[in-house]
Amino acid sequence: MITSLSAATVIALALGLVIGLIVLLVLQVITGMRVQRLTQPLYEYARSQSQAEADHIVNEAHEAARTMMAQAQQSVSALIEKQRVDIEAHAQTYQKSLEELATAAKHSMTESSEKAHSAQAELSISIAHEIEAQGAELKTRMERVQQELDNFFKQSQAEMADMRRGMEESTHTLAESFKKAFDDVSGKGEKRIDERIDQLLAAAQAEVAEYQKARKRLVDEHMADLITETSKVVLRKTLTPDEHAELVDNALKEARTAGII
Amino acid sequence: MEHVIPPSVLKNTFCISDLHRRADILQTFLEHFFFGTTPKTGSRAELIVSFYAQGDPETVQHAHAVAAWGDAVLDLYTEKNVYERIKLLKSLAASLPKLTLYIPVHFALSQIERIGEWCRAQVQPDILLDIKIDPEAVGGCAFVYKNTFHDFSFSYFADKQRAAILSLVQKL
Repeated sequence: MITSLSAATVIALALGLVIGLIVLLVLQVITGMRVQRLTQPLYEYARSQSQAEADHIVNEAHEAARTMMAQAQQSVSALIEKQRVDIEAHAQTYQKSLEELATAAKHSMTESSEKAHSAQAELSISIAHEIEAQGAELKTRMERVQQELDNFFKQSQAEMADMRRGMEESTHTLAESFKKAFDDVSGKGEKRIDERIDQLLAAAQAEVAEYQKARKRLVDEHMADLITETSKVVLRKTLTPDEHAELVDNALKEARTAGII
Repeated sequence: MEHVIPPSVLKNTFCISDLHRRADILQTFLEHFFFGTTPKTGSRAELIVSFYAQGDPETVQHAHAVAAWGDAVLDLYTEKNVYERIKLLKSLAASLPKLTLYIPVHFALSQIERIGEWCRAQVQPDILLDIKIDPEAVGGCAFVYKNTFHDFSFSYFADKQRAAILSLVQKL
């Protein structure tokens, strides 16, 4: 059925729909404006009520804060006043004590000074007397010591002279006895050395002679060996087989004579 | 088969090397005699002499010595036992008393025979010599008899005359 609708009809329907939509939009706008116009007073009223309530709360809070601040200021002022009174009382007491102490100290220093001056004077006199006494005694002692030193020096010189004299005598005696002993020993020593040298010389000569004899014997033995070896070479080169055979016969006969074979 | 060296063999053989040499000569002849063209009639002693007639003088002398063993000995060898008998002959030499003789030079057969005869007459009748050449044995000989070595060379005689030699040296 749709397919049978003409194009004009379709266009008409489309136009109709468009127009309908436009109408709906206009109605929507109009309706919105009316609703806004109707609800605006209520909104304003609610907003003013809320504002008033908030202002009231804030004012109350400010009032409470001011009250608390006033109370705190009063308390602090009372405390500060009390402290100031206490401090003034302590300062007066301290000042008074200081004055008393200064007075006592001044009095005491005056007394000490007087005593010290008196004691110093006494001590100086005493020291002077003592030094004078000690000096005299020291001088006496020094003189005594000097005297003793002089005596000791003189005595030492005398003793040293005696000792020197004794040592010279002892040395001379010792030298004489040593010279005598040395002469004795030297004479005997020379004799002994000569004898020892003679013994050693004789022993050395005997050893040399023995050595020469042994060497000569060794050389002779060596020469005898050389003669034997040379003779063997000569025999080997000069003998004929018959002569060798004859020597073999003789050797066998020698062995037979010796009972070996 | 006898296990002794025939007396005729020992009679003219005085040293082990000669016995071995003669055994080899006999073996060679018998090989030709049994397996070769050598005439097989007549005395083997004569045949062996004629067989080696053209050889060197020493071989000829040995051939004569083998011939001197006699046909009685030579005829014991047959073509079947020739090798066995030759081997036996060589081995029997080891069973005889031995005198190892060190001589300075090589001696002729006659000289060996003379020494051998003297040894058999003076030492033992059936002794065999084992000849070795040693130039150090000059002026005599050295020998080993009954496992003991004896030096009777010039060194021995020189030692005996050591005092005289030393005296001579001292007079030089």
